[in-house]
Formats: sequence, structure tokens, C-alpha cells
Amino acid sequence: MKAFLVGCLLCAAIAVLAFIIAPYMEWPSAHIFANDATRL
Amino acid sequence: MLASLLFFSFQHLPVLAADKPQAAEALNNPSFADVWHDIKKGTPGRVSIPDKKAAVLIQTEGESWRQFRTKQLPFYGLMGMGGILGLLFLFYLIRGKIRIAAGPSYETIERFTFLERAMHWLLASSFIILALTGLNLLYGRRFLMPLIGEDFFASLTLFGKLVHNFVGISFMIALTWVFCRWVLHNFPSRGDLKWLRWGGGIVGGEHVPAKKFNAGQKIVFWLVIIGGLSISLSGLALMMPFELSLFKNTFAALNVVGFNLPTDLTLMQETKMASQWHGVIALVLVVVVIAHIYIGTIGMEGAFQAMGSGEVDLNWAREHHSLWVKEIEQSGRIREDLL
Repeated sequence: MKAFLVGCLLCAAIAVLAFIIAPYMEWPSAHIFANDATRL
Repeated sequence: MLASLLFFSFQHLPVLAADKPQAAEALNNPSFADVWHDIKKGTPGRVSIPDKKAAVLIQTEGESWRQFRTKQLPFYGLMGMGGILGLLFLFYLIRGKIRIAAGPSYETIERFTFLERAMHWLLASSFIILALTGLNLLYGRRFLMPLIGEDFFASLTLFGKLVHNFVGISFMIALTWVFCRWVLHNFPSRGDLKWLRWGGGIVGGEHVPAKKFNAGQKIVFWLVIIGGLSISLSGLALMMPFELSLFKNTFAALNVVGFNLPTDLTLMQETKMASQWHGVIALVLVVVVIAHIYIGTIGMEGAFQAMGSGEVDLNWAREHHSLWVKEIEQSGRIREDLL
């Protein structure tokens, strides 16, 4: 079941990485807030 | 929205402030009635601010969206999930666990490499997290909140939504990899029709020859790939609401081949449709994956090893994927003592 663990760890690692870089890309939630601010 | 309200209000302020007979006369004024008729229909007015959505004072379509989101979608979702669980339970009662007819040979051959299995589990784990956090958004308020309390449910759902957004990226990466790796094995082949006609061996009780993937697995593959692509795109549209016009472009493409779908969609309509479509496809995928999990675990002896250890029993392989075993034998990628 090593492959299962690697798959789960990869899933978590990609999600955390996406979470870390998201503010720099204004995406996704940061993007929404930025848009709301400019639109209003 | 405030700007539009002020525009409409100030325009008719003298009328509203007038005495009763004048007001009654004004209400009968066709232009005044027309304005409110249009507002109540959800007809957009004119705004000069960047947010063009504000031109619509009353979101009449919002009510139909709410009805769909709170009534039809959860109802049909429960029917689908309950239906497939019921069918599988019945199937298990009638057919039982599908055993290896010749019994296990205790000799194994490699079915999936370590990388293939890891990527399958990446797709599976991300899908399960997305499904649980997504189902919580749809059903949590009804079923979970009464059990765990409002405060904990609110925190859990907020965290779940955050997780849902970012695990979506893991799912998209896994989906892309899985598509690239297995697409060549999943194109239709001549034996597929026979496999389908015999229900994969259920009808007649004899195993039907199949390559690496049988017709049933190919159907699951394409449902996951097409459904996964669709749910990823609609998910991105929900992450960036009022930005993408996916339906407008999709409908325009479909109209080329004879459909007559609306292409003058507002960004509000686009986001509502993305939300509805995301929910529908999610529930379809949950139903498909429940069946996939069943047949890969308790439904069939020897199937789980394919994604567990990667090694499957030779007799299992000969019974369920005889053409694939022949290909391996001919290519010389099988030990001689197993031939």
C-alpha cells in the first residue's frame, strides 16, 4: 500500500502548494476578494 | 445595484411623493408600469460602474437557481446514490462475489506499475475529499448540522470549502496524468461490443475476452475523464465567479452542429449554470465511482490487488483480461514458468 500513501501525500502536497502560491497569483479566493473590491 | 436603485427611485420620486389621485394616475402611466414590469422580470437597466451585474435590480432567475440547488439537485442526487447502492446490494445478493473460476494460481503478473498506482490513488484520494466536502455543501445543513451543532458545522464547512478549492488542483493534475497514461488503452476495440452484449460475462456466465481494459472499464474511464474535465472547468468558473463565459462558448460550439442553445448569457447566468452543472456532474461521478469501488473491492475476487500491490493472480488475469495476457506472453514480458 506504499502507492496509496504516496498518492495521498501527493494530494496533500499539491493542495498545500496551491494554497501557498494562490495569494501571489490572486487566485482563487484572493482573486474573488480583489474583484469584489474593484467592482464595488 | 445601489446606483440602479437610486436611478430608478429618483426618476420617479416626484410621482411617489405626490398626493393620492396623482399617484394613482402615475401608477397607471404605462411608462412607470413598464419600468417596474421590466425590473420584476429581471431586465437589465444601464449602469456606468464596472460591475455590470448591478444593472439587474431583481434577480428573478435567482429563485429558480435556489429551487434547483435546495430541492431538485439534492433529491435526484439522493435518488442516484441510493439507487446505485441498492442496485449493487441486489447484485451482490444475486451474484455474490465474483470468484476466480479456476481458483487462484498463486502466480502473479504485474498489472500496474508503482507510478500508475500512485497516480490512481492521487486521483482517488482527491476525488473522495472533493466528494465529501462537496456533499457536505449540498446535504450538510440537513443531515450533519443537527448532529454536530451549528457552530462546529459552520467551522467544518468553511474549512471544507477551502480544502475543496485547493484539492481541486490535485484532482486536475491526477486527471491529466491518468488521461495521458491510459488513453491509448481505452479506445474502443472490436471485442468491446461482444463484452457489452454478454454483460461482461454476467449473461451466459462465461468470461468474455478483453484487453488491458474491458468495455466496462473503458466506459468508466471516459465518464471519469469527460466528467472530470467538465467538473474541473465548472469548478474553475466557480473559483473565479463572473469571469469566465464557458457556457456561452460551449453553446456556440454546439450550435454549429445543429443545437439551438442561447449564447447571449450574462455573467450572472454563466455563474449560476456553472454552479448547477458542477453539482449535477459531481453527483453523476459519485454514482459512477461508487460502482467502480464496489467492483474493485468486495465485488470481485482478485481485483483490488491490481491497484493494491500491482500484481494480479495469473488465473484472474486470464479470466478477465485474456487478450492482455496473450499480448504480454507474445511480447515476452512474462516469466517462462508462468506460460
